[in-house]
Parts: sequence; C-alpha cells; structure tokens
Amino acid sequence: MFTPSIPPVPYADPWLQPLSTRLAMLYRREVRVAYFYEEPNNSTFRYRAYNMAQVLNEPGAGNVSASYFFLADSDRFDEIADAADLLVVCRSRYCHQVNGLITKFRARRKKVLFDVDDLVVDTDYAHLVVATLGLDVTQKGVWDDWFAMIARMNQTLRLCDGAITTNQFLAQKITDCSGLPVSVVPNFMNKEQLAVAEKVFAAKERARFVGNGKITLGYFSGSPSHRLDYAIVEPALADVLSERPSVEVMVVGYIDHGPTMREFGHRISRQPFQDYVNLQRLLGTVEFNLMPLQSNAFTDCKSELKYFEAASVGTLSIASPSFTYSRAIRDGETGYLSKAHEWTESILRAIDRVEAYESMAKQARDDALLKFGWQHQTKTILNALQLA
Amino acid sequence: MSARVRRFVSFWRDHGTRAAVRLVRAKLGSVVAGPPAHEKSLSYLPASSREASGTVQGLAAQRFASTRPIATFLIPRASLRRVSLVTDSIGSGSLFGGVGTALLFAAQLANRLNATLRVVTRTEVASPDNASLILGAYDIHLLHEMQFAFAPWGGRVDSGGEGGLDIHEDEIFVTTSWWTTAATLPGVPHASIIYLLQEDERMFYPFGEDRFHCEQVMLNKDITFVINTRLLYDHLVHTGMEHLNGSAYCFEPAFPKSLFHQRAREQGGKKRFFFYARPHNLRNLFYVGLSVIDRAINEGILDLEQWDVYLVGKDIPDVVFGDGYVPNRCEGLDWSEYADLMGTIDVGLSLMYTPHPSYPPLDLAASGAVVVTNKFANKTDLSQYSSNIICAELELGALVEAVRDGISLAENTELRRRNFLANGLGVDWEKSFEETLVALTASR
Repeated sequence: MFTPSIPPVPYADPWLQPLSTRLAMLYRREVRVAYFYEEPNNSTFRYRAYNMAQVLNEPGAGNVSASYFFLADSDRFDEIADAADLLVVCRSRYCHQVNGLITKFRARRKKVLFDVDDLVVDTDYAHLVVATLGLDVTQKGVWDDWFAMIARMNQTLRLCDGAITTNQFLAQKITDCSGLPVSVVPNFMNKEQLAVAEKVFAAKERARFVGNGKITLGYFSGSPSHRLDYAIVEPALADVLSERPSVEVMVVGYIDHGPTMREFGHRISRQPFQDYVNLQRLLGTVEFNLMPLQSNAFTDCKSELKYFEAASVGTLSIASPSFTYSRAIRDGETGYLSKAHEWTESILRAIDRVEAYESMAKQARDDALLKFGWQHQTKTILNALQLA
Repeated sequence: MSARVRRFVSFWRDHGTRAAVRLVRAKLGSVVAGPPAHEKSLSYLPASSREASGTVQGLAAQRFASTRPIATFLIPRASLRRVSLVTDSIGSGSLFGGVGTALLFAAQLANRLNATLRVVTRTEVASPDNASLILGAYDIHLLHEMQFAFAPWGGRVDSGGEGGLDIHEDEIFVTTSWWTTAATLPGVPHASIIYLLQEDERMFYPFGEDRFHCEQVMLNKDITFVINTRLLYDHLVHTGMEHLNGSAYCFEPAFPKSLFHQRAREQGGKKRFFFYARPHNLRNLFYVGLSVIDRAINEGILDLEQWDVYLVGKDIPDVVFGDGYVPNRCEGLDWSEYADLMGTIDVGLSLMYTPHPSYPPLDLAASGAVVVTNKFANKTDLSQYSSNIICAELELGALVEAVRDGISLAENTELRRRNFLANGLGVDWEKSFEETLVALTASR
C-alpha cells in the first residue's frame, strides 16, 4: 500500500451556486451553452454538465461560455432560453417541465442536444439493464420503474436535434434507436480532481513508488449495482489472498463480500463512499484498481472513468476487456486486461511485475492526462456542440 | 467450513430462514426417496418458482428438477455472436472427461464464429479458474471475453441478474446431456441447439420414466447432434436413433502429448498396474474389476513381487487383494497429478459397460501404457486407437486372460514401444473438431 502524506481535502459541491451566479456564468461571453440536468449529483451531472461548463468557460473556448441549470430553476426557464444559444439536456427523463424547456428553445429556433452516458434510452435493453444490475425482478415496481425511466429518456432524446455521448459503442446504440446524429465527448477529469491527483502522484513519485510492503488491491464500487461485477473477481481475490500473504484488499463503497472472503476478513479494509476529490487520495493508496465488468451491451457502454481516475494518481488498473476498457488500456503498458476466467492469473501477473510498476504508472498517467484531462477537451466539446 | 456448508449459509442469507428450512426439508426428502441417477445434487427451489404441489405439473417439476426450463429473455442482436455452453457444473470434480471436452468444443466453436463464449451452469456457480485451467491445459486461447451465468434448476438466474438468461436471436447453445437439452429447448429456437452427446445416455437408466424422457430428447429431429466417437455414432444409429444417420456429426477425442506422455520412473522400481475404480459409477463395473485383479493375483498372473497395484478414482472402499495385499489408492487427483500418474503406468484395467471407449483407456494408451478394457456391442476392437489396447469379452475369465496378455505385452518393451509409436489417437483437439466445426459453421 502506498502512503502518500496528502491530508484530506475539505470538500463542498462546487456546483451548488445560486441561480444568479449560474446565470452570470452563462452571460459571460457571446455564444452561450446551457446544460440542463434534473438535479445536480456527484456522478453524471459532474461529468456531463459541470465538467463541460468548466472547460467551456476557460479562455481556450474563445467566445463561448456555459452554465448549468436544474428542474428547480423552472421558474426562470424563459430567461435561460433567451440567454442561451444552445441547450444540452443531460440524461433527463421526460416530463412537462423538460418538454417545456426544450419547447422554449425550439420556439426561439435554437438547437437542443441530448447527452447521455449509459444505455438507458432504448427499452429493448431494459431487461438486460435490470439483469445486469442484479435487481429483484419479482418486485413489480422494478419493471414499471425501469421501463418508465428508459422510455422517458428516449422521449426526451427524440425531442432533441442530436446527441452527445461517451463512446462510439453507445453512440451507435443511440443512433440505432433514435436515428439522430451522435457525437462523442469522453468523460474526463476536472480541475479539482487533477489538482489532488497531481499532489498524490508527486508524493508517490518522490517515494519511488515504494509502499509499506503490502500490496493492496482496490475495488471502488460506486454503487450496490456493481454486486454482479464484483462477483466476477471475488473468487480470484480469495485465490490471490490465499497464495500471497502480502496482499490486502480495500473495498470502497457498498459491496458485500461473499463467503469465500470471510476467512480473509483481517486483510480486507472497507472504506465508505467518498466525494470525488478525496476519492483520488484513496485511489492513490492502492497498487491495483480492479475493474471487473460483466460482458454485455450495457457494460460495453460504460466510460473509461475508473481507469483514468486511477491512472491520474499513479495507480494501475486491471480491467475486463469491455469495449471502452480494451481501447483505453494497453495491456502490460498502461494497465492490465483480464478476461473473466483469467483474473487470478492476471492479478498475479500484475503483482509479479513489480519492477515495471513505476514506468507503467507514469505511462498510464501521461496517457490519462492526455486523453482524459480537462485541458484537452475543448475542441472535442465544441465540435460536438457544432460550435467549432 | 466445507463448500457445502458455505453454499447453504449463502443460500440462507439470500433467501431467508423459511426458504432455508424448505431446502433442508427438500434435501432430507431426497435422501429418503433417493434422487434419480442424474440428479445427484438436488437444486434449491425457491418457493416462488415451484409449481403448486399436487398438480401434475408440480409433481413432474419436482421429480424432474434438472429438466426444469431455463427462463430466457431476448435482447437485441449484439455486435458479437455468442456460444453458450449449458452444463451442470464445471467444478473440479467434473472438469476432465466429458465436461472438459464440451468446454473445448464450445471454445473452439466460439472462436470459429468470432463469438463470445458463455458457460451456463445449473448445479453450482461456475469457477472461472476451472475454465481457465482446462483451456490453459489444452492451450486454447479465446478470442473474446468469457461470460458465466448460473441458471439453477429452481429457476433463478444469477449472472447476469435474476431476470432469466439473456439470449441473442442468433445465439448457439451447446448442451451436454439430455437433461440440459430438455431444460434449454423450451426457451430457445430448437435449431440453435447443438447437443454434444458423449454416451448413450439411455443406458444411464433402467426402463422407466428417466429413460423415456431421455429417449424423447435424443429422438428430437430439430436439434443438431455432435457425437463423441464414431463408435458411439454407429451404435446409436443402429439402436433406434436412425435420424442421426447422415445428420449428426462425430469426432474422435485428442490426447495432446504435452499432457499425455510417459514419465520418468525411478530405476529398479516395481511395475505399475492401474485400475479405474469408481464404485458409484456403475458403468465402470468396479466389483467386476476387483474380481479380475484378485484372480490375476491369486493365479500368479499379477506377481506382487514385481507389480504395485493402483486404484484410481473416487469413493474407493478399503480393499485387500490375495493374501492381504493393500493396493495404493489415489483419489481426488487434479488433472496434472492424474496425467503424471498415467505416464508411469505399465498396465491398466479400465471397464466401461457402454459402447463408448471412455477416456481412461485412451488416456493410458496415449501415455504409453498397455490397457485392458471390455467389449460392448459394436465396441469389439479398439486397435484403431492403439494396438496397446486389448479389448476382451466382458466375462471374468476372458478379462483375466486379457490381463495376462496385457502384462506380457507390457513386458515386451520393444513391441509395446512400436505399438505406442503407431498409436492412432489424435493429439490435437483443433484437428479433432475441424471437420465438425467446418460443417457446423458453414450453415451458421
């Protein structure tokens, strides 16, 4: 385990600004992009609206400015529609207010785009999504909830002129179900994330990537819906713990261990869900970040974010070869790829290549910063918005 | 904690105390009633998935739990096709032999179709490590990701999720027994099923319900049959399975030299006599084999001054031969230990009361040993595999004489070596499946 001495960062959601401040942010320049999300959160909103606006408000975006708005701002939708030249509706379910907002932009002959980061726009995949998340299908509400949610997303999508998403695989799925043109803007890291990552990486570099003698494998779950993904790697974790006394496991988030892990309880640490800034600190402490995914169309739509968040702090990832992970990670150079039946072998291979760790970690960070750092996204975003 | 206890605790946690009590009752019930031959491990049946007790459907579902349909749901066509292997388990205990062959076949079919391979198990959650072990042992590299799904007899699918088994329209299902075929048929297009038949499964049963259902599945003309060995194919065609004539494919198994070869032995040590000892697998004729060995020892054919006897298998009771000789017992060997042992054997006795030659005689011959096995129906001569295999009438005296001949052949090192070098056994699974895979994929 690495022990970079980086103190916890006091954290408050940076997007919790009064509407007046957010409107002022929009008015700053001549070409104005309004991002809309139902209500702010730490995940999709941050990646698909907050981060986008952050990049567009930098000097590199020329005369473009951006801000973000929520359902709670509905009393001021007219003002927003007057002020903005372009609306991007992020992963929002259809309702009278969402339709109303889009209608206001359309009435002003302004373009509206839909942004989504998961395969939640096509009801043909609803059953697969429910199954992949391991939901209890005997609960009738599950079907109502998921079909309604996905159908509402689809309806919002169809009201728009085009879409933006996180990777080509998902882009094709969106085109298939809507017939709309789709652009790709990957998820990427914002300033706050990278500032902490920089400190963590520097501390590890100073220590020449030497830890405390233990090898820690981290699983950062994010939500309980990753239970079945975690199940892919758990038998391998038990094998590795049994074979290598120096290995420990850190689980962050909501995952429960299966019975095979019980005998290793003293070597498993559990951390609560983290805010995204301090998550970088925690990620920096583990040697390997495990990213198992079930293999199907839903998981092929997932973005690279777990890879680049780890890479930015000099932590190597071991990942399932999903559509995005297999394109993001160069096996043996910037991380490792592992098919579902090869996890034990893959983890041991990674552990045994300790001599390659430092150079791989540096390569991975360079790669992540270049492809997924906020500084390199301006052109891609402007292209997707058709403002280039 | 044993694996069984762990599974129970896990079940208890997932399903609650009431369901756990029901499970215990079901288990005890099966102990009293005795499960059918192919239902050695009773699945857990959540109350929600049971047919009402007392109805015809409910009674049948309970009696034939292993054939309960796998719930499926269709998802849109994927960018990659998929081949799903449906089998009871890929646990360590059942990995080599038929299950291993099925995994190798499905893996090569998947690669040939540029498809993903999924392993669907029914009696226990699949161990990815075991899949890795068998594919690694035969140097098979999958082109794409491998998937695993657990579809227990009780109906809940956990791969996956609990919403059933997702299937694609153009998916191919490789089933591995009549009961996995029966369970798969109701939920997928029949033409998508390839039934890998590795034994005359009718012979698992006396004339009765199980045999009837088995035969019904084997008579299905909508599915494709791939049969392990020409011998078995010929036997089936001539025993009521005429529809297989010309429509089924068959292949001969392979025994890679990397795994099956003679191992170095200590100088001056005793010669080794092997017996495939599985008392609970009735087709292996355990007690007949013991009698053959005992008589061979008593008649001085098997001279214990020169020979050590190895009983290799499972659940072997304490056995004493002749005047008190206690043989070596080898149980629970993993694949490499098994292959290592085979490579040190001089003569093996391996019986199989069916038309299929079974694997142990072929493993032994591929490892350089002389083998005695029995004739059955059209299984009268296995010299096409190796002249070191002696096929005797299934009669005590004939088998003892065959052991005498086998020992004599084993001691004629030059002839044994020449026979070994002229073995007709395949050594490459890819070649074994080639013709079948070409035919199967041409139309898909």
